[in-house]
Amino acid sequence: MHGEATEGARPLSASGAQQATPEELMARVARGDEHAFAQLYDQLADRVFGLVRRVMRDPAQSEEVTQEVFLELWRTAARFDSTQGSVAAWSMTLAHRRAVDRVRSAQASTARDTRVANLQVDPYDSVADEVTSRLEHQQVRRCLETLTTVQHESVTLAYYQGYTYSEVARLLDTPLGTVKTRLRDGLIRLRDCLGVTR
Amino acid sequence: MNADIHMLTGAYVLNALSEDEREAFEAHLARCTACAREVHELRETTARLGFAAAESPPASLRSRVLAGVRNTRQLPPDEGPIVPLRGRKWPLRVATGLAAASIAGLLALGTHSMLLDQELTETRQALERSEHAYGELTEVLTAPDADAVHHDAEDAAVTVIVSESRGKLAVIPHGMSEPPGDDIYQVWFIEGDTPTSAGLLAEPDRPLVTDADHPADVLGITVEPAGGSDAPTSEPIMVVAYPG
Repeated sequence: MHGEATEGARPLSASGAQQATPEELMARVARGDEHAFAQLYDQLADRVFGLVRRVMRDPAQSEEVTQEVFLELWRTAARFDSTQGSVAAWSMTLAHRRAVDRVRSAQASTARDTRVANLQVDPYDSVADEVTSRLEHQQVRRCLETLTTVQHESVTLAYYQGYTYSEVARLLDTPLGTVKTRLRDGLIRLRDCLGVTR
Repeated sequence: MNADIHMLTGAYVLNALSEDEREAFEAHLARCTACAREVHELRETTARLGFAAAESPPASLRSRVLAGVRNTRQLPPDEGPIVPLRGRKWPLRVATGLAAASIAGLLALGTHSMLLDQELTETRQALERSEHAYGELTEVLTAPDADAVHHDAEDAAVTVIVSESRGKLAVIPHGMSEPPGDDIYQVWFIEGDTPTSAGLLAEPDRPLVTDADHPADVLGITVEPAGGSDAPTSEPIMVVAYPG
């Protein structure tokens, strides 16, 4: 696999034949095609659910949020603007935002500090640990390894744990400005390594 | 482009900004093409990180989602005006009153992020129920020639939308507090020094839709005694450029 993010999103059926791309399916979904939506779900559900679960942990809530994400995709399909990115990336954006919002609002009433203080796992290794033999995962893992430690830690804490950058700064005992910068240059390096292009 | 705020692209796509910073960045994003391109690329990048966490959901989820779809109405294609607004400070009652289509149109902004607001989901059903009640507002919001100005004051904000083809003006307040006692907010067309009443904000969080039948350089909002006044009796608390 290389370059194009949308290409990475084109799945193979069991027989190895190419299925419709998420973009093609989305165009049909926009016209109310439930069958196309079911196919889109089949293509994206693992990714959406996996990400939501990574951030939220709780399986029941993760299912709930995954369901919300897909209903949102259905509802707004006619508004989807392919010049703004791939369907897969948009789905992941929705999923991540919702998961993070949910986690943060749940924490607003509890002591968020506790969560930060209690962080014990080594979050930036967990991705690598769970990496399967799938090509996609290998590539992400390889590219994550090209980041500096601070870039790597900042990006994975923010993305997989759903921390704000100021929380990341506290966790890593690093100045805010540094974390802000590392999040950006870390992602830029990942972008280049993964060959993501417009 | 502001170099410092541009540095936030990374934190933004990672959803690592606080709510206030997110809003500020999105306002900036609406005007910064370079930022928008970078956000787009970094989103494709973070998506790849997300793919690496793939995990199969239980099969039961699939049937729930597909059943949900059968009960969920889709939004029509977006052709409305593009106005940089965020949902968070949008009063819930306004959100409930607006047609889903117009909110989504308002929030679309060429990026998808504006659709993400929690409120939209939470009020979706209420939205659909009351869709017809705000037909007039929808008409202005979705007019192809709609022109908008958004004005931020300290604690409140107001969006003014004018459609020449529809001959309508919409004044949408955000976060305005209740006026004292029986007082009421009144909106004025102000041309030069001459104010002409455009109507009353029946409630501080309800949009006013009226005829755009008077020339104006700016719109002013004043606090007036119950029932409104023929001419302003106080200084405007807010003055907004007239769109167009």
